[in-house]
Amino acid sequence: MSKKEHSYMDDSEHLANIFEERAEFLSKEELKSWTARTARDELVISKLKGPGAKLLSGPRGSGKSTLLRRAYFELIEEGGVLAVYVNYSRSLALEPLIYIQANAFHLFRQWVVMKIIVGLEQSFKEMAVEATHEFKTTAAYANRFIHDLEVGDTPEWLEYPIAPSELLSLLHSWTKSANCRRCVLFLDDAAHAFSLDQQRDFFEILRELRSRKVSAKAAVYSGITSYSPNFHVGHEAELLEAWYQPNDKIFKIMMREIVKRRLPPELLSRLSQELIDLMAFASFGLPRGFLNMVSQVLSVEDQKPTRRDTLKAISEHAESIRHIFQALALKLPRFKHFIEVGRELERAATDRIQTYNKNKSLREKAVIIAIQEPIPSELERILQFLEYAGLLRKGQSVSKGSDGIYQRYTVHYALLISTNSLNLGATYSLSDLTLALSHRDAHAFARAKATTLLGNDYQTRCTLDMPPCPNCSEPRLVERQYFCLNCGTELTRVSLYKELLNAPLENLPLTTNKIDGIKKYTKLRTVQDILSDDSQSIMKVPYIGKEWSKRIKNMAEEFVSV
Amino acid sequence: MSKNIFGIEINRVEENIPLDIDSLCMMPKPAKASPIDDYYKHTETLLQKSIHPEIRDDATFIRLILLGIVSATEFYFRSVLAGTIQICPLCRACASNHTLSLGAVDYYKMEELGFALLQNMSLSGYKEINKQTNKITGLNIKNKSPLDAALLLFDQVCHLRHAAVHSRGELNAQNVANLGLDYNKQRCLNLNFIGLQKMLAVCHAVVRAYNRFLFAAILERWLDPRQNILNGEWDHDQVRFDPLFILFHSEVDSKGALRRKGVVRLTSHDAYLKIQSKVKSAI
Repeated sequence: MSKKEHSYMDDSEHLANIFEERAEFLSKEELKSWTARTARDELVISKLKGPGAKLLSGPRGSGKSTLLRRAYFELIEEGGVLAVYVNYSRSLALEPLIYIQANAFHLFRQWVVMKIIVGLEQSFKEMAVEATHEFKTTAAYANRFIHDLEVGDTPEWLEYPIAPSELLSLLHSWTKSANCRRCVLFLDDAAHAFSLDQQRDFFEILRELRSRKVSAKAAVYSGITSYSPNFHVGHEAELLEAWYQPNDKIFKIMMREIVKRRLPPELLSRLSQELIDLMAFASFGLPRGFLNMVSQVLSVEDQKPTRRDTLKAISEHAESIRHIFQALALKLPRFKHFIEVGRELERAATDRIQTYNKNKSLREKAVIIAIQEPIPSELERILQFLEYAGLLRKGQSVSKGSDGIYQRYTVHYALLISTNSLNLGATYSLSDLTLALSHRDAHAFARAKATTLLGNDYQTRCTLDMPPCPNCSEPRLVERQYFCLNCGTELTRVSLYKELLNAPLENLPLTTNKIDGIKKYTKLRTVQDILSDDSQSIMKVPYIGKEWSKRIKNMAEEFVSV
Repeated sequence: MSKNIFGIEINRVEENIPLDIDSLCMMPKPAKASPIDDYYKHTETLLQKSIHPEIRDDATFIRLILLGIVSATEFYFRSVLAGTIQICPLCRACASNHTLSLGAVDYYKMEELGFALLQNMSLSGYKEINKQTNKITGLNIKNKSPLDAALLLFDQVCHLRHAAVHSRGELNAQNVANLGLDYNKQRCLNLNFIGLQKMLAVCHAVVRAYNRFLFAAILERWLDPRQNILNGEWDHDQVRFDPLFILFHSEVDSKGALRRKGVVRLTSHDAYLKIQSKVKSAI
């Protein structure tokens, strides 16, 4: 190892963090120095710090957690306002309760409340405020409760239940005891995309957690968020957008700033401005994807990334996003057929755009597929899933007169690049690519009907996939069916979380080589094995050091969370 | 048609109908299974009838089957509570302060006197079940416990059944209030087979939760050494534990689980061995 490399390669933990994509795993200092700010960010952060309920919307990797945590740390530093940050990504761990206890929803609601109390404990530490004895007792109970629930040691009843309305009163008193004017709750990963009941329950709690002195800000996913019947977005909470437009100059500047802040000079010098800008476009306005690709191109030691390396990183990034979408078939097994049709839609959309872009100049290329309305519910569902995964971005609908109204969707730029949907020919320069992506013509979009893209029978293929009756094999009619319609046998339902934990390693976005290596050198076989690998046996595998070990564990965490 | 004193023929006249009550009644069949298994058997029969194509799409029949399901659930509560007086000295002591009519003592067999205690009580509702459980056994159902949650859901089903039985499916103001519905519009039941299934699932949940609760709560009281009920030796404890196990154990539920473990049948002795060390350490 050369002397130059030694300076940063020694600190492999630090190196792992450089490319840490998830804001919730960055320290306060790392978050401050490694994330860039734009005027738009300032506006969003200002609204997050202010009064009133807010919903921060965006797909995975759009920077929601970064904005929430920046706002949280700023309030802590400024003083005068009691800020609390809570991350709810472990909500799926509570899903098995539905199948074993009738009071599962009571326990979930209590978990939501207790997480806020534990978050507040952390806030007091950050602010160096001495908490009251009463708070310390409550926080100790909350920590125990959360731990027991998340490891499956479920209490039969609630020893000291705290209703959301009671929590509101307690927050008032704790805010006062901390000499603060008001309290702001930052509730991250609150969408609980895979449990509609939990989502609805959460928004009911959110409605209750508001007063003149207390306001809550929640991060929600674009596409699929199920609000409670009494929660009206816009009225109950203002909707803020975290997702940047990829063509936004501000986004490009922000990505350049991020690499400048995060990378040590030795690594930064290997990246040209052209490559940085191209990866910024390819990330489609999602900083996490950008960091992913930068990490990928720099993984080849001691070499400046080539055009080939960059396109390969973009292609692999496109594949990882597809994988996120496909993994929905595991996380929501009943929608397996919808996901399959979604994959067809993705391919058909990129083909259609490629056809449109033939013989178009660089400034006239389309990146949008416009689907004729009305859009049937099955297709709407698929489009929501694609939006959740970040593969598509919903735009405004447009009227084409007698031809009808079309709903526009921008396709992820990494997909367009990897499939050559911009139709740039076989040997195009990276600058051509950048030019084609940076210029947008409002009238340039590929129109299509759903049936043209998917065939006339696509709706018949969008069926819920549920196991048939174990007694007579009669298919199930509805999602939550309790008894067979044919023989009356009671139908069992399996915990989704437990299924995810027992999923084999092959379900993680790892190369075959890595999986083979893990199987050869360790006894780890399932996602649960990875999560409970405290002895770090995974590091016995060649080419899996601290950085990769952390990444694999993060993959497993992501796989079993929202 | 006959005319009334005003000379108006308002409707057809009524007949005198001799009702032979005896021919409409028979001796009940003695229960051969635990109350929970008896409940399962009865509701399975109802469910089997309800899946017939002519019935499952007929809202009227569905309402009647709902009535049968809630009735079976109510009967489960009666049977199991009546049974506790026979098998648990502490429950018996608690119930001993309540009055029985002489007629009930004549009508019921000794081992069925628990039914006599409950004969004028409704057990189709959250408040009633809580009240009678405490009255008969001295036990309280904890707020926000799994059983409490299951009872709240069952309470909603009871309100729907009330509408089905008493007003041909139309909800009254009390039903609407108790179900937390909007007062602004009147409602009636709109039951289909899927809805019925869901309500059956609610009844299954409350029966299971109650059965688990009562078994555990009674046994926990027996573990108190001051009660002198168990001493940790099977020869001594069998006389108490056997009836407890028989009253609460579900052969239906344990079939599948045991088959997977390669066990033919779980006996009360097998179950006792699982708690024997707890009994000995408590004493």
